[in-house]
Amino acid sequence: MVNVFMGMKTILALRALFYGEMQPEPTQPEYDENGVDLTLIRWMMDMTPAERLETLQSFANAVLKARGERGDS
Amino acid sequence: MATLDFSAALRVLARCEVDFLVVGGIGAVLQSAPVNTFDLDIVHSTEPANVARLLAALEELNAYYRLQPERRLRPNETHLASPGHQLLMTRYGPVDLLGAIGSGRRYADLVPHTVEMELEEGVRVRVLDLETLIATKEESGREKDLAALPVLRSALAETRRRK
Repeated sequence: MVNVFMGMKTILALRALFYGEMQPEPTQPEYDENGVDLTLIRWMMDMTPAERLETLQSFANAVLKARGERGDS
Repeated sequence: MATLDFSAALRVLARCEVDFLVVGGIGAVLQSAPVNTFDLDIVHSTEPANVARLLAALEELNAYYRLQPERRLRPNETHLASPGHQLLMTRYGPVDLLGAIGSGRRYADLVPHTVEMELEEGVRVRVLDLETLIATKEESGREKDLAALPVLRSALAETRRRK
């Protein structure tokens, strides 16, 4: 026998889900009080130091190339 | 300008067994701060034996002063033993050799405040930790350094939160 008893809270949650009313709960802020984008910091924290350096180099080289200052090798 | 390859520059310095530590924007990036830079800033030991190793590394990097690039002036022992800043161009991009930073802190003062990172097999570098990097920028008081503080402080806070 399956127990189908649900509390009011569960029913409301299921109703919200069914009607698309449910919003993801914010778990961590995206910006701090100075406006710094914390998602970028967390993204970099997931990389190894070598990957962080490679990301920086790729960006810097792309900028130099766009400026026409980089001699491709 | 040549293609920037800071990894290659660090590889040469490590292979030549130069005592140095990474500071500035690259030091910040290595510790997850999302900042941009176009040069590699290092603080080196000004001990005579280290200066000799650094000169050998600079030879391999084809380093010369950026101020008058057409003259291809190269740093010598006296330059590298001083607390001054040597702004160089190398085959892998701009490299700044800093004898001292902040309120005159030199290599020996800063080494206890570093973290060691392995960038690739056999290439381990010391990086000035974020706390001290922030402190040196506060000490310098320059607009450029103060502007970087919010991102550095946030990176430090996020790093501590994750630990």
